Amino acid sequence: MSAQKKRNFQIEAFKHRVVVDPKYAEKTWKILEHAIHEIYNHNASGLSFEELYRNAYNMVLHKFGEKLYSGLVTTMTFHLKEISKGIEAAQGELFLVELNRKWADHNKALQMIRDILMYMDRTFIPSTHKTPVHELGLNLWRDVVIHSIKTQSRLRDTLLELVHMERSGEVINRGLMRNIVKMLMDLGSSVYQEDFEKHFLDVSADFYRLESQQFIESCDCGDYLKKAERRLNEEIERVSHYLDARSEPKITSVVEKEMIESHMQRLVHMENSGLVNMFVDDKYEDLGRMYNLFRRVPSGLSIVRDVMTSYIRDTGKQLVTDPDRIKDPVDYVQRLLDLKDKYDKVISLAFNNDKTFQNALNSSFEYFINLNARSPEFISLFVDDKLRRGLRGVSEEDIEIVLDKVMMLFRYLQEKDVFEKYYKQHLAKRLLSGKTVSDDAERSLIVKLKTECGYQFTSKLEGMFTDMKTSQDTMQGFYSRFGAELGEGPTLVVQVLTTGSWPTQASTTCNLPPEILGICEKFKSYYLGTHTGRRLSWQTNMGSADLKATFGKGQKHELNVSTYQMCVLMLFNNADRLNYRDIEQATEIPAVDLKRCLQSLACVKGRNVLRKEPMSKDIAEDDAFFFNDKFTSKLYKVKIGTVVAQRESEPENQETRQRVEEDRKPQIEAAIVRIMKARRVLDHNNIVAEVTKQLQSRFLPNPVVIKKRIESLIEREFLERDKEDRKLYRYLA
Amino acid sequence: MTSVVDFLHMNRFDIVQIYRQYCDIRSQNGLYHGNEDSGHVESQIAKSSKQALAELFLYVKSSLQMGNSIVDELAKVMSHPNLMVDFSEFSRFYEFVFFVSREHGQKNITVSRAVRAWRLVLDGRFRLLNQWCDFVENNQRHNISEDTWLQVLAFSCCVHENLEGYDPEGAWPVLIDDFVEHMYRQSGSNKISKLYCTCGDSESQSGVFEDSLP
Repeated sequence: MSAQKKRNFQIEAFKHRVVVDPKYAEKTWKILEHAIHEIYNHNASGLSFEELYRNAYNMVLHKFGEKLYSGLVTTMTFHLKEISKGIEAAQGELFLVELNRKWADHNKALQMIRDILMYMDRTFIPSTHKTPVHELGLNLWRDVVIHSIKTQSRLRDTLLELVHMERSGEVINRGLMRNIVKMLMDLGSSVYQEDFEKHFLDVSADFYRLESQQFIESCDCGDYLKKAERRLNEEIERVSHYLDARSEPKITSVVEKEMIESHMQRLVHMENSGLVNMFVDDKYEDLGRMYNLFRRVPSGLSIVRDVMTSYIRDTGKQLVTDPDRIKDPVDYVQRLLDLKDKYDKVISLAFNNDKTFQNALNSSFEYFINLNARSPEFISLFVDDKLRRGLRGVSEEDIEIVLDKVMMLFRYLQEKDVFEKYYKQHLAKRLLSGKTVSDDAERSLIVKLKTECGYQFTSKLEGMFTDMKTSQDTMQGFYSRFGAELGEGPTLVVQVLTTGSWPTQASTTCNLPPEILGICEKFKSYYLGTHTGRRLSWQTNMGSADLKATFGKGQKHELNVSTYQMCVLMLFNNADRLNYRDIEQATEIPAVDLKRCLQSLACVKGRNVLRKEPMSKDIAEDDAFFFNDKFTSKLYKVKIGTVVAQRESEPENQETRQRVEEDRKPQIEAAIVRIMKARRVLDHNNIVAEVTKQLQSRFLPNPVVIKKRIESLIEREFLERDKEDRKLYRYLA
Repeated sequence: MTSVVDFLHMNRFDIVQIYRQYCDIRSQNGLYHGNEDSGHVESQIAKSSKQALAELFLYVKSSLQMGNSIVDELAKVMSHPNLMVDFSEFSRFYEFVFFVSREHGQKNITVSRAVRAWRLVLDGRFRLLNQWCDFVENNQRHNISEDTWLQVLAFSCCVHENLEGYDPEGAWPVLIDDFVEHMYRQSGSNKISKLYCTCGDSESQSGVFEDSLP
């Protein structure tokens, strides 16, 4: 561009004729040197800043920058050496005070010097790549004062000594401390780290190693943790008061390592006060402290978790295998729930609701609850107990809470199908004896089961409820049609149960008394008249009856008995004395049931409406029974031998097991076929794995049983073995 | 397939002839297994060969009513030199044994018949034959299925006297699994535990088993 412009006049700048005084530089420097001396001697008030600035300016301008700079270095070094001597001479505690004072002085002086030499700082130094004045001052301070042989170690030791004193509980001058540390930081982070922090960390590690050793010998676990926590907080506080904030993670990790990590195992397993004792004594605070401290170190929490897991497993295992506990199923389940509550509380109060701890808790329960094969039965019995009487007078929300807890246990069960089996039995008894406290609670639980296991699981249970409802309507219909005609006769309440929905029981019909045969027949024809194509059979083993009886002194009572008992008692309308064999012949009740029902009629005090000869606890086949004229009771209504669901006896239990196993066979086969239909070809181990996966929401199939089912399917030509690889199965469409 | 009809006119019951016929039907079937371009044709073939086998089976059963024991007849086949040379030939024969040992309309054979047949055909081929047969006689109540029958041959081939070569994950029929467990138990629980714990000491183990399982 400039080339295209017209050439203009060149105006030469007016040039000073500079008189070069050969001593100019020397003289000027002398002035400045003097000024620096005065500044260090606190005599700066007589100096003219303007003059000094101009002199320095001129020196730089006249190319004497180099001289100025080196002069500054020499002079400042000289002064700092003097200062250093003074600091070194300071005795005892005055050392730091002196250092701090001189440091302040030096800073002030440095400020002034920099102002005077500002022109040099701005022009000469950048162009010659020298250290700027302020930094130069700091470097010289570092090299001359701080790193002087006498001061360097003394400063370090003094600082560390102060920290140690503070750790020992003495009060120190934190302001002074902060200033000195600040000085080190101002001199550069490497100075702070090399001259102080490194040593500080080492000494701290030694200190805490020793202290933790002492503590662990003398304190119990809780106290130790308290002390460790306090130490940790002290260090954090120390950093905030007079150390570099970046030191905080370093010093805390030292404390963590020495006080926690090195002693974790010992702390957790400490006799009489370790983790297990904290669990036993519900020491939530200590547990929380342990959690928070151990969380700081790697693998700390996993140690706590492992100990917790194995402890829960042990206690749980003891609980479920204790023969005393097994005697009382309701108590057994209640204890399981209490155990769960306890650890839920620990985890929420002390362990910060940590997911990994919750998982550990769940897996522990899953482990031990399935150690006892009767857990499913007992849980169902627990529900039965609650729904029969346990929940009377309890608010709806509380019912929900109990049921939710039960569902939680249910989730841990591997053999959910066994639970279903028992639940069905118990529900049937509850429904038929009219003993359910709350229909809502019953339905609520079924809904929960449904959400947990799907429609299939509960469809039959729901069928039972439907039957009950339908039966009510049927009875209403029956009585509205025949009510008048039936008159004073006995009242019949029939529950029509759909086969398949209700637990199957070998139907052994006894002979009903002639008094009710009539109405039974009438109902039968009424029902079959409205429902063609159906078959009705009387399940006399499941019913109950209310009888009005008059005893010796004209006393009237209403007896609540089972259908079997009713059949027996009705016989005594026509006879005062009957032999066992007579009764058996007349009623055709199966011997086991008959004995049981006679026992409750004749052998239970306060309920003995019959008298037995000879008097004994057990029923023999040649006993004789009499109507007990002298029966008395304070109550008008007398309940005899209620059919409460009880834990099964050993043989019954075996039988149920067997039935469950039988029921599982088709389920396993169906699963195999489903899988093979989709996969066409699959090897043995994969089939087993898949089947297990598919069925685990209901039960845990045994691999041998799966294998047997596969063999059976091969024989029935659903599958074949591959001709080359005998471990492969093929699906045959 | 016309040859089946020929059979019905044979006046002497010749088991070797029947066996040859069986092989023919089976290999015809196998021939089509080779080229799998048309599933329909294949299933047709399979169907007709199945029918042929059924007719052959009926013939065998009706001829045997004359009183000959099938086991004696099978011995004749075995003494025939040309038929027993290589293993694939033998395994075809082994299948044939199951085929003729069945009762009419059944898919499996009784324990006693299976044991007799095993003692005959696996003689010298299965080192644990005696133990196997004893075990099955004493412990198996159900009939032997075709799958189990075939797997016993595979088992006899890959298992040594000391049960080495048996893989518990190997998809063996339950009867074979049970047999192995029974053998382990018989050889003494103390020795068996040794087998599982001291894996390094294999020399003494095999010694133990040779002693205990002659």
